[in-house]
Amino acid sequence: MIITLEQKEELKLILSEYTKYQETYSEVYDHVLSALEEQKDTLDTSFAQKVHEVLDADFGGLAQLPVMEKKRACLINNQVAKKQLNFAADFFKLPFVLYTLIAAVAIYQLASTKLLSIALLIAVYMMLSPTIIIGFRMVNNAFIKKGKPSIKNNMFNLMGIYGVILYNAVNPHLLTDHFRLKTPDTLHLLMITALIMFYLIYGLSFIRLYRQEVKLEVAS
Amino acid sequence: MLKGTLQTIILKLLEDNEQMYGYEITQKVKELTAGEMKLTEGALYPALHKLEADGLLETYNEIVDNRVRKYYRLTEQGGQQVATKLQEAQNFIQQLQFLLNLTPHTS
Repeated sequence: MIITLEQKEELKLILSEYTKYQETYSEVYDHVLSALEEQKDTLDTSFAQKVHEVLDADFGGLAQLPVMEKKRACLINNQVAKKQLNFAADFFKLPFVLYTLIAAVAIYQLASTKLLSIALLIAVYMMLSPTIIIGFRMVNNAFIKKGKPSIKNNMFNLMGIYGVILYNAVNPHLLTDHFRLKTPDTLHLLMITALIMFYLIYGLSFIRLYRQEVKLEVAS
Repeated sequence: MLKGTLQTIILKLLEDNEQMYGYEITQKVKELTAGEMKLTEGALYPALHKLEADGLLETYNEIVDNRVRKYYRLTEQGGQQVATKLQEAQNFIQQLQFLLNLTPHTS
């Protein structure tokens, strides 16, 4: 059947109500239209009825769309988190582990001098890099008129917030104490080194993940 | 349909057809089974999304008739999995046949 513009708008309205994310909306929209286009034109059933018939047969009904969407969001979130964890784990595998070790030794050495503040500044910047990158992205996207949000975008927005939460959670009085102590002991220096290394690895793994995802986004 | 077989069907279809979109997959299954098998009740998309999340499929979008169409295709890892999944399915069917005494035991 030939679907008119009005009918397409009607379908958009029906789907808009039951879908939250762009990924689900556009996939279901294309599926329903493809199915209807192959059907014969009949006058005995309304367009809305035909839409519901396709949705019932192929998706288990409109009410199943939010369920499907929730599962999908969960899968994507897990996938992205797993990727970042894998990127972080790479820093403990060859050849990256060599850089990790060199950085750790250098930071440990720096921790006993006043130059630590430089390393610290870089590490804090790395830790907050998700927040900075996502902040820029959000400002940029604010000027582009878009429909529904995408699952991945939402996930990245959350990661931007996690950066700040992690920074506040992991950054105890350790650092402020450090600058008050005249001769910090070995344990204190090791803790400072571990903290800075955590900041660096978290930030770098996020940047790697973000770059890969942006590349995929551009490619699609 | 038995649990897990849908993923094998999708992987095999994509191996044969390189790239497909959701509706096309449902139609292909219908066509190959002469309408005997229908992918219904929202089984197809969750399976596609799971395969994508597992890294066996990748997607890309194309604009067709002014709308976004999402195509699925096998990743390298997915391509390697097809033979294994097919072998697993074949073994399972064979065992089922033995269990139901549909074919005589050959040992």
